Amino acid sequence: MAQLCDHRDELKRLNTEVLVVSFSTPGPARAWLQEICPSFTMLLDPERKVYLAYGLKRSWLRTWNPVAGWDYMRLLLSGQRVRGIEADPHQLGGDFILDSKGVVRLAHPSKVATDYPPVSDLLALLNNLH
Amino acid sequence: MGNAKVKAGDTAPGFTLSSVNGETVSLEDTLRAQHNILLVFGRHLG
Repeated sequence: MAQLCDHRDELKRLNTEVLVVSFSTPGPARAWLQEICPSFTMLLDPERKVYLAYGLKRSWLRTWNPVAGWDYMRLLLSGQRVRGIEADPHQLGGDFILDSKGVVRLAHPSKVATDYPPVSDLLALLNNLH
Repeated sequence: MGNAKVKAGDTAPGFTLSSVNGETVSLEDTLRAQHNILLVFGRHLG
């Protein structure tokens, strides 16, 4: 997310609104947003109805697995802080690009807890929509 | 709302949620502003 925030001006140029959805409660979510990227809009979905609508599930196995473990270790070894949103470690996330007509142009549900699409891929697709 | 997979080419499921600032934000209203949307669902780790 921090890497995405570094490209906020480009995202604005690409006419793209970033909506971050969190299952957290308002206080921790607000603190997390302030630390990571205050210019993004963070929405609260504590009942995870929108997570479910987009097919994003909870998974113990996809959270505690060697791939995610290696990613956590790599983050820590590189000196980065591992930032937990809060509470449920088993909820998987995802990234979706919607065009201005509301059609899904990219669907990237996380395969494991640390799975994000490369920011360069997101920007390339948004450039194509521009 | 179910939890079927959403795929490229599908119409995005609509929603209305509150922001951390207390505003009500709907997908419909955001699309009405002719914006593309990058929707990022938080994981346990940000």
